[in-house]
Amino acid sequence: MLIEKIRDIKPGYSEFEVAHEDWMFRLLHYKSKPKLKTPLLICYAYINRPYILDLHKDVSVVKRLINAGLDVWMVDWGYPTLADRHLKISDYIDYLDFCVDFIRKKKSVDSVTLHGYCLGSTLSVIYASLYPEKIRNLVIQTPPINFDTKNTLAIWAKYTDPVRVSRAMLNATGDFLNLAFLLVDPIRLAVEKYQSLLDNLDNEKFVRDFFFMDYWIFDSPAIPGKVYEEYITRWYHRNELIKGEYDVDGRKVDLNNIKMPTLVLVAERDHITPPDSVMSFFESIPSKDKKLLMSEKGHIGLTVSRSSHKKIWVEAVEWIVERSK
Amino acid sequence: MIADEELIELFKTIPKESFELILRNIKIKRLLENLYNKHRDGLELTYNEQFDEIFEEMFRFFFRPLEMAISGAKMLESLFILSKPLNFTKIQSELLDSYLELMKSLYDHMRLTWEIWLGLAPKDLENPAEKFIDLYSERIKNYRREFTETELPVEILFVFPKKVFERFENAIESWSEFSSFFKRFRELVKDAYTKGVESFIKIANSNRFENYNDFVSTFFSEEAKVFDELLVSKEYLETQKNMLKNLMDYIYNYRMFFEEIAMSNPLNPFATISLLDKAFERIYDLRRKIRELEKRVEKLERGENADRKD
Repeated sequence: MLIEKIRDIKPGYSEFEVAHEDWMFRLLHYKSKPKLKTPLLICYAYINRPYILDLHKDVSVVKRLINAGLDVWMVDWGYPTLADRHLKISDYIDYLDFCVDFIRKKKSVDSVTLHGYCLGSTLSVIYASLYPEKIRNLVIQTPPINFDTKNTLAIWAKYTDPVRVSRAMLNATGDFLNLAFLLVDPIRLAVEKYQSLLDNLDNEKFVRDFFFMDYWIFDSPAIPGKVYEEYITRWYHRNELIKGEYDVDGRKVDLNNIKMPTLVLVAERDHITPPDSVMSFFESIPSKDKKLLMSEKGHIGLTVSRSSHKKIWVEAVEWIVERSK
Repeated sequence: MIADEELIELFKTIPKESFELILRNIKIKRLLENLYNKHRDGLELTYNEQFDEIFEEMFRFFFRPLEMAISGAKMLESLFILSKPLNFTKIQSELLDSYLELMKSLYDHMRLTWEIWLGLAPKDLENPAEKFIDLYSERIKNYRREFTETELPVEILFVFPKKVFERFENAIESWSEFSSFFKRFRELVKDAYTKGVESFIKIANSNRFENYNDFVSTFFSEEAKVFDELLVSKEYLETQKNMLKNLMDYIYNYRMFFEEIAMSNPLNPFATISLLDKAFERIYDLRRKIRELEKRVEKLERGENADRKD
């Protein structure tokens, strides 16, 4: 029976402790015996949940980083409620700064490796531009930096009035976002994908992988209303970041400050942040030690596919390890 | 396939969205298998009601939240045309009062008859709590007689402040606009789907698919192609934009309509969402100021210049 194959599914593999908690934001510290000097802080997006990087044993990026001897930390942006509607992107940057300082102090180091994923990459690039002295290496995975791309989701964002959404619903709810993420490709995501499941009900590995993913996909926190307004208006509508016009509380975000070693992970078939979202950024940053790894997978497949773990993550972790000694 | 007896357990275990999409896809699979059997038996495919059923199963997940908004607006419409419902409620209430009186008399009659038959004195069975409730009901009734003689159904238009009507007008207007754009949105999606089906039928009728998998993957691929085109077309983008805009305006004005009514009533004991939202905004502003001060104190403790903002 299907239920017997999936009853025990619980996303999230590696053990961690909560090192700090500030209302809904949390700093997680993964349990390990690190051998390398520079700690690594993962900054995930504020859409969906960060455990996608530690979904299960076979495809855990966190486990791979720990096994390589790294000291792994992660920011968890939590589940915003009505009470958090007035959070701003600057609050996220501020907490990121708090976490970096917390780790630097705790581990007696000057700088950390910052690993951003999706919109967490955008936050990481902003942070690294503002505080370059605290970032030894920058790793960004499927990063949206240039928002003027031709993918359907980016086009839809340009046709969305975020102020109206925030005024009506207060936050951009998980249900609202899920609907958009599925409607962007309805045949493949709401039909073909489930037909494959029905065709593979006897294949336990397939079924378990499927539900690990679906648990994650539909575990979708809301985006605080004011963050949604700012991110759609300033990033998608005006593309301020790549144009050098974005500021955090009046402090200009200058991408010319990205001089630290930088690794960019891109997914060729990414329908959320296609390669165009980062190419111009990668070419223009002054870092002398920069590398781009291209996967043939999609936005999530880059993280959770077994083939990515055999190939791209081996290279990525090697790159990080070399620069964390 | 999934056994009926595990459906409840499955519903409890997996995300509700997955559950719904699985159920809908079970039906899609059955319909497609049926169509494939016809194709395998050499029958020509034509656009029929089975393709319509597939469409409904494919897009119900997306249409439902929007249709919910429409039914919500119907409630708004009936809610504000208050004089009829209020008149009706008043008549109902009077009728109910008379009926309750009748039932109470009947009950008292039965109780007394039963007590006499058992040979019990009425006071032996008297429950002090029931007696008190009776006394209190009598007291309330006396007040009612004096204070409930108003003509609310006729007064309703003058009871609420003007803002209530403005919100109502805006909500109704946005709802009407939203309904038109939603209708167009549905048509665009249906037209694209039909185009995909027609293209698939053409392929299916001129080729023989060796197996079910080839048959359905061609169907999905034809559908995906037309949707990839539709979802970035100018008309679709404009329709979706206007549909969303009007839906959001409708939701906002609908909520504000109720909030204005609540705020105009001095008996209302509840804070509205807008009041809470304002309070949360102030809390976050204060929190940022505290954080800023903490940073300055830390700098001072380290002997740095606390005026430098970094």
